[in-house]
Amino acid sequence: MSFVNFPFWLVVTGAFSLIALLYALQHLKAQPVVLRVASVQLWQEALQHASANKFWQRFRHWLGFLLAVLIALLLWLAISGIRFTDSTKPLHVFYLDTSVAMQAGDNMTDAKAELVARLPSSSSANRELWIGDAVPAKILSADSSNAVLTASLSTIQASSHLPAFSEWLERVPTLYAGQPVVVHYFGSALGNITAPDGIALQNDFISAAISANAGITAIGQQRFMTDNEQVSRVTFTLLSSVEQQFQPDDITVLLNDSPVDAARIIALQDNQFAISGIPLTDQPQRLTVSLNEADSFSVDSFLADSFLPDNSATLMLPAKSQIFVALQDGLPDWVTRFVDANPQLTVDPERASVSICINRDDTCPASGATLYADDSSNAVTFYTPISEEQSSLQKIWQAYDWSDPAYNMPSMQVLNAETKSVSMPLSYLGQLVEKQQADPLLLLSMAINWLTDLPVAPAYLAVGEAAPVLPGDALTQSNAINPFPLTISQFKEGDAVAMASLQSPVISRQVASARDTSGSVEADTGSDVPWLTIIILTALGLLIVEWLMIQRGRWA
Amino acid sequence: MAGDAVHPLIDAELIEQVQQFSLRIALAGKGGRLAEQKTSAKGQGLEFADYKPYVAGDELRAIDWHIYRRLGRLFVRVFEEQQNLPVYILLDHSASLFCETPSRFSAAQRCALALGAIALQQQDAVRVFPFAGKLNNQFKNLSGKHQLFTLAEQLQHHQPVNDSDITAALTEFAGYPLRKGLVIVISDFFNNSGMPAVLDALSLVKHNKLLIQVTQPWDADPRRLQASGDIRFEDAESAASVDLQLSPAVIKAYTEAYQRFNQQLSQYASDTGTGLLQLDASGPILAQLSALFEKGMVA
Repeated sequence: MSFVNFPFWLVVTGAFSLIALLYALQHLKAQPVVLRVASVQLWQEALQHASANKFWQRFRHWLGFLLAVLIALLLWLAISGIRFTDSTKPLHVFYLDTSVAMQAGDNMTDAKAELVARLPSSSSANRELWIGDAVPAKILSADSSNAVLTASLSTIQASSHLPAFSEWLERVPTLYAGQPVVVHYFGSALGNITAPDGIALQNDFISAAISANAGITAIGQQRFMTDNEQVSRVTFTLLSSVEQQFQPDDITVLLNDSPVDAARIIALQDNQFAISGIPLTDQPQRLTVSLNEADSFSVDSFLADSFLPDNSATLMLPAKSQIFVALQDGLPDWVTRFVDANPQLTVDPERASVSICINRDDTCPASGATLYADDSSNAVTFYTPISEEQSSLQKIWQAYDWSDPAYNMPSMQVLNAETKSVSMPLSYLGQLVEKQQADPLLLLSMAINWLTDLPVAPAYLAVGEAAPVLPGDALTQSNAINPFPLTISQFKEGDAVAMASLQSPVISRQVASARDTSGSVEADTGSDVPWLTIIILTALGLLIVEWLMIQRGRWA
Repeated sequence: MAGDAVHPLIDAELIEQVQQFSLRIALAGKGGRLAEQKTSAKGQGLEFADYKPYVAGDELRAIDWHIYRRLGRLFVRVFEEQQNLPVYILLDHSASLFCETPSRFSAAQRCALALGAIALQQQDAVRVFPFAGKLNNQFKNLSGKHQLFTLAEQLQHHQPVNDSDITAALTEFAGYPLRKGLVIVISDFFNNSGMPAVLDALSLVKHNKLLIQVTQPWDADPRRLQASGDIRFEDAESAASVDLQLSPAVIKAYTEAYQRFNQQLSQYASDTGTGLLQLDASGPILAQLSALFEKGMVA
């Protein structure tokens, strides 16, 4: 016996509380109607004669109490979801794989149809339905009707995550506390997976393998400053399972739904393409890259793309940013040239959010933040009192390798200060400028962007899903670019068919670690007896009996 | 009568209607004033009763000269002497007669006044004995129809009294050396000691008796209380109460108990030739009194 809705201790406590409450209520007499009569002598006599008719009527109050307790306990048990389990019957767990491989062709549709067809063969009392991609989750437990299950399945779609079935299967004995479980699997090919002891694995549906695939596997952007404007360069990579060499004509690029001339698409090596010089505007722009129809491909063998979801990718280009700065007198020429040449920066002391100074004195314009082109120390120093920002800065530092000796740059120092400021070694930066090194300018630009709290656009992003922005995390090498996110996730022996996934395994691991696998509520397998209905009907029956006996005066 | 109508208790129409009735018993005790009630007294009268030897002082007109002619001795004729009927009205004013609407005491008052008016009309002597916890004998005999207002006064001002004892009142009354007459007991006859004690006390009263049992419609039919569910019956006189559910079974048991209660009183009345009227306090007085006299329950 178990309870679905409440823990055992709560059910027992509630039951005793109900009994105590009803017992107390027995001693609370209802306010009777008071009638003043000439004499109660005859009524006393009548009461004695009436109650002495039958023996059991002397105990009518206790019978009433017993009936009330029975009714209350039955209803309480019904609310608690009492179940009488039969541990000998196995629990049938239907597992629908919703990983990325199920996006291919009609895999998901076929899997759901097969699942719906097999549901009636199992008892509704001892089955569960799980869906699984990176994080398997139970969506319906026992006692759900076939109609409810079918309706619930209709909204399930495949995701872009890697399958996690094998990890989940290893946890099944723990989830169900050693109860016999039959896992019915509906999904992509499993490979060499062995079920744990006590768990029976049935491959009720294995989806068709991907025969051919071509897709956009990586797309990203970089922002540049030209002489008079801010531009973006978009780079993407196409990959084919049949070694197809793509041409710009095989691609359609839309910028805010307007076609981009194919001549602007530059083919690089290894099926990499770039679109340079996309001017940024005051509003974000949507850039969509899509593969043309398979019929237009030059290679006959690639006529069927059975994995369509990767045939298009969308990238949002940021709006151009504008930063107003104030300059202190006496700044080196290269600084002023940098400011003049940078279209992002506008000298406007009235609206300045950043001041660029060489000395920390009264002549430095007051603003929200200050960039000190300081030659007093041989270091590039960011001041911030916030530990999260310090951590973020350190990661940026490492991401751009500014501490690399090859760049001859000093290490970053992070010091505590009340206001934001950046201190730069003037002599080093001047030398770098003279040598036409890009990195010092980028450093200067990044410093100003950081001072103004403008979001720093990531240099490059993989398609598939948005890069997670985790607390304290910034652009790092580990999650920034995966040039070949098309990974082999499963391999079926014999047929030697690979199942593809677009997702960067790094990101999938991050999502999986952030959301633990939701465990089964408990092993709530139940018998086929509709206990809830029986309990409620019994309670109602007792209620009617008590009503008849009390209200209709059948026993008094 | 016109002057009597000013008393709030006097219903002129009722009084006029009851004048057609008369209160008489078979034989009243002697010692009263000359009137119309047969008594055991011998003397002046119209109806011949017996002969007796002449003694000095007898009326010469009463000598039967025919007997003297035959026997040579003087005998005088003796006549039955009709005197007034002493009517004793025992009025219960215990709290049980006041607790309902309309009150039983109001009906008892009007009934007592009506019967007293009949007695006064026929020149009988009326004496009121209110009782509750004990008997009140402060009132004197009233005679003559001009005493109707006084009678009403004596009947009117009584307060409800708890812990009444009709048996004690009847026992005390039985001990009074009163001329034999008609005792009218007006009460609900509820008694904590039960009806047998009441009947025993009634047996001590050596008068002709007329019992007026003041009732309410719900005494015999509790469903007319128009109450249901859990009910607490509180005794009008004592602190006793009964909590019960007015179920059909309880109503049936009560009805049977009430029938037993009434049957004891009726049986006593039947066995002893005592007049008995169950007076519905919620009904008209005159019609019920008419039924009493039509049935000949009062000779």
